[in-house]
Amino acid sequence: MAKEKVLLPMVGKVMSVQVKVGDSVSADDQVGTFESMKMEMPLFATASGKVVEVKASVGAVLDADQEFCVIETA
Amino acid sequence: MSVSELVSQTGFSALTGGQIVMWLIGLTLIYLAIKKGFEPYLLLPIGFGILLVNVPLGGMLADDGVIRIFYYGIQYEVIPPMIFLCLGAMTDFGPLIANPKMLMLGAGAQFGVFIAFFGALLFGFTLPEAASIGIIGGADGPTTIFLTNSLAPHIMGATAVSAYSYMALVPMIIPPIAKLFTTKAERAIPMKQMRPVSKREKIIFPLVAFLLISLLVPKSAALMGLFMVGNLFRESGVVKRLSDGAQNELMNILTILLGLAISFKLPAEDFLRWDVIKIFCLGLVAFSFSVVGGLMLAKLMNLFLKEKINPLIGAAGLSAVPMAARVVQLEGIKANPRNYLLMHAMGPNVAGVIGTLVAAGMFLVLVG
Repeated sequence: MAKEKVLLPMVGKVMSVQVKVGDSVSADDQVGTFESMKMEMPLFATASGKVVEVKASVGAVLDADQEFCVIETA
Repeated sequence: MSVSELVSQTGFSALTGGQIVMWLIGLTLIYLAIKKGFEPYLLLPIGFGILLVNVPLGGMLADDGVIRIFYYGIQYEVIPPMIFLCLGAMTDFGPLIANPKMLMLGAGAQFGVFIAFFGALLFGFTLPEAASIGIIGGADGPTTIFLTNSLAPHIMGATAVSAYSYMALVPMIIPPIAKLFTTKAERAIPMKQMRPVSKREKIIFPLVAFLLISLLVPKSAALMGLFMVGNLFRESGVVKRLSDGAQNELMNILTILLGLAISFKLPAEDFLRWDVIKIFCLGLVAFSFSVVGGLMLAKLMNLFLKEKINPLIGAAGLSAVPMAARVVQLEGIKANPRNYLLMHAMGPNVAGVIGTLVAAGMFLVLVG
């Protein structure tokens, strides 16, 4: 069981979190949205598996490469 | 006083067909700003400004008229450089410092400036007029106004409105050209996270950039200098109030003044001429070829680079900060959902501003 971290690609404010712990996701499923430079962008799962940790919360400002959520791959 | 004398005191007696046409143009700009959200911060004041200067007997353009007085701010080169100070305070050069190669893309996207310059000469415009029309392709309003004021103030209404209108249309101009000149595989090229840029680098950049570029193109020193002093306000971290003031209150005040002041050049007799249609056509050519220039230069760079760049970011060299970068982000994510080009596109985007300033400085030397 490997853990795959979904990272924010740039500094941004979390606008929505669309997964919760225990959810099954496929690679490229949308896990949330974030805003950077007044532009809202989607964030996608980087692997298929089960969400084991959600680190982002709506309104939080995350740095580039900061964890949004963690997926456990099968 | 008789009824006919009373009527002659009103604007109705002096209203011309041209003024009514200008009302329609002004109302269209206001409609586009409110209903479509096209560059509302500029098109709204410009649109109303057109109404202001096209009411007969209003006296707006007289020596003591309010629009005439606002216009001194452009004529004496106060407003555009001050706007650059504010833009400097709003600009993060980090993406450009992290990847200085992007400076080339900012230069590549000036291609349209020179195409439109030569195009304007072919259409019979004079050298100073052609330079003022060409600079529309830099997609930079204050630079266009600054250069036109120095070289050909009689066509400023047309160059300014053309520049701001096409800037509002950037989301419609970039995508078809990008699709025509790049393959889907190229648009999907992923770009790696940029390196972090230190505070020291960000402080040194405006100082070095100003000195270097002003030595190379002295005529660009006014705009470049204020652009960089604004940026130093931001990055130094010691004058937060000045930086905040420049980014917010001062920028807002100058935007209002600029939008209204431009209307000095927009009375019917100055604007409703065949040349204006030619200027609008050349403006679109300028914008389009600037996008092409940026895209093609990025593709050319890929022939030599080990780590390929996504050519879409070349299109962001067409200043129009940050709209062009946002359009690049949207187009990139269509080709590859894991591609986040926004920050990468900001490099060429701010480099495009510098490129346009340099082009304007060159025109001032060569044509002025």
